[in-house]
Amino acid sequence: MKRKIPESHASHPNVVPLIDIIMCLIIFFMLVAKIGVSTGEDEKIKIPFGLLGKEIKSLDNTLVLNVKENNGVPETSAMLTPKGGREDIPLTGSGSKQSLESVLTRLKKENKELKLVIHGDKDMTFGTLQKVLMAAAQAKITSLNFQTTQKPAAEAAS
Amino acid sequence: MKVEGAKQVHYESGPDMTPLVDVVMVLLIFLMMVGKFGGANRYLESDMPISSSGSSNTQVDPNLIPKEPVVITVIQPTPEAFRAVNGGKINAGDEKELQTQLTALLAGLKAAGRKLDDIQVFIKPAKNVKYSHVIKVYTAATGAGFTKIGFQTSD
Repeated sequence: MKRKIPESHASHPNVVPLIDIIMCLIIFFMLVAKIGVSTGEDEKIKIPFGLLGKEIKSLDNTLVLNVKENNGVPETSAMLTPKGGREDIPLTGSGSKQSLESVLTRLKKENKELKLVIHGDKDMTFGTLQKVLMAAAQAKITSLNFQTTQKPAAEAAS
Repeated sequence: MKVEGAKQVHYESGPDMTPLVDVVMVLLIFLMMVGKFGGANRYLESDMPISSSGSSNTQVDPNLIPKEPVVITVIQPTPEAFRAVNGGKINAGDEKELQTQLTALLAGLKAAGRKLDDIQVFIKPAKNVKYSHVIKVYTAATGAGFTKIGFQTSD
């Protein structure tokens, strides 16, 4: 015996499966997406392409240092406190601004496991990077990482 | 005059889902737009090499100073090209070519009895070499199997 679909139900589609799927999607995105999490990366910096880099699972004890050149002048910046914004850190101290070496030395003293991630502009010269490396070496930072991207198109586009 | 009877009352059997679906869709689109999803960025790990020379006055354990490191000098003939050189063993201007030559060099060093952990590679770029070229050399060295890679600064 065939059951007759009630008239009130036949007039519109059943949305329950749709809601189920959308709810699953929302929960997935809420769990996977990193919303409001910032490591202080300067998104404008175009980092170099590198296929063999590893993904760092945890960015605890990590300072992301943005390094770029502005008309040949090195510029470095980082987010030094979790709630603070990105600050410029000059290579050589001036006035109230501490030099990069002093800042790194202080951070290393506060946290022995400090890791440094260099988020560098692909077009800057090694001369600029060298100054940052020397500051890191003077601060006795032993763990250093170079951030790369796996999107060759980003490099080719510029 | 014709009097019609009341039409059959149409009862909805459940709650109205439309506002719920609207809100949920907005949430879904918001999360998809705002969320940052990992996957694109990678990191090249490096341990700072310890050198016997330099401006620091720190006394270091002599055993930590690498013996006979492999020094790869990098120059940039044109802004879009680089050349990596190590004596007569390495001379490459392309990442893949460099990796092939470094793989052969590593095999030779291993055959000569050197342990992988004892082999320190120094990348020594000229000051004008682009960072992207430096990373290519670094990637080639990593791809060849070297594990201890550092940088040597130039004057």
